[in-house]
Amino acid sequence: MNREEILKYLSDLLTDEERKEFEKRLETDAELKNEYETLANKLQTLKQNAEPETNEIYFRNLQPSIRAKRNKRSMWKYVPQISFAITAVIVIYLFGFSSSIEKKESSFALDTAIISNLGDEIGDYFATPLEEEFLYLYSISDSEESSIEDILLLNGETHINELDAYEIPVIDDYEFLENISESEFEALLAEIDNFNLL
Amino acid sequence: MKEKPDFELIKNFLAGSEQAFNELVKRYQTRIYWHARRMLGNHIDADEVTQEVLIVLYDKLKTFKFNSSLYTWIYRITSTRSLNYIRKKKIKSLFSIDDVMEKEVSYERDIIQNIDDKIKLDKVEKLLQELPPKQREIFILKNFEELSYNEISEITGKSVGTLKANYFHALKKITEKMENE
Repeated sequence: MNREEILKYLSDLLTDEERKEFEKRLETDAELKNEYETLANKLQTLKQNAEPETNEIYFRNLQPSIRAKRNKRSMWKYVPQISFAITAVIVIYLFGFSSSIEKKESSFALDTAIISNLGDEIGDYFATPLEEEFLYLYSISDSEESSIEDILLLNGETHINELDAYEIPVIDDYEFLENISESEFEALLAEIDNFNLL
Repeated sequence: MKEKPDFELIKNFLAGSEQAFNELVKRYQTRIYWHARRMLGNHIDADEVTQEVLIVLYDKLKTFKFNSSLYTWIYRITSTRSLNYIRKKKIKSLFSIDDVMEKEVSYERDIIQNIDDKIKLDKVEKLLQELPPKQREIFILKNFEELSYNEISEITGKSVGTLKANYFHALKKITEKMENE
């Protein structure tokens, strides 16, 4: 019972009248006085124990660490702006890059179409290995080229076989064809002519 | 040399004097730390909240209205931050298992040098942690900071009547626990 009253007194929950009454009893009631003093002492000890001596270095270092933390935070404050700027740069770069890819792709498509068309034309031309070898004859005059074509483009395989059979220098020897002079080529044509290949 | 009053230091700080702010920090850092420490029960958490409070002080001092005293304003920030920290930690602890490890680290890094003092403080902190945070806050402000109910009311925003009742319950619990030890 005393305890409850003491706690109410310490918490200032007693009315003025109750408080006066309690303070009067404290002077006369030894038991109450003893209990009150024990409790008050315990609370005082609790307070003393809660305020020990501390390492002052911690408090000396507090300000610099706050300053560092604040600076760090002020840097982070700009993160949204920086990240926005970076995102914008990336988007612009990607947009530009993708359009350049598109450009490249479209240019590639065009090139492919041209090559394909050319391929169709050249492909016909490259129909046989024999005809392929005649690319090297482009360095010669148009009339000479066309006469060779006339001779050989009729049926490549057959001609090769026939050329082999008659031991005519094989015109798949690129170097040979590249290096022969116009007069030699004339002679070659004449020789082919002589074999009545046509 | 006579100490400059708080309002003068605030004015100087708002006029650009870092020195004035440093002076305010020196004046209040111990009180902030100990209030946070008693609320949170260990050095690491108290250190974090203390730093937070001082940063808030730096950033928000320009919004300080001279209606109340600076120390009640600082206590209000410290109390609010501590209570928020407790809430966050409670949520965190539901998903974490390294609470024991944290306590060990906290013990190692403590700023109390004397081992006897450390043991005594440990007991006080354990007792305080038995109280619900709001009761703890009032008990600390009344019993350790020796603030009046009116001052605590200014800090917590609670009526004096509620504070008295809360303090009574806190006191009852603490004294019971002390006797059972």
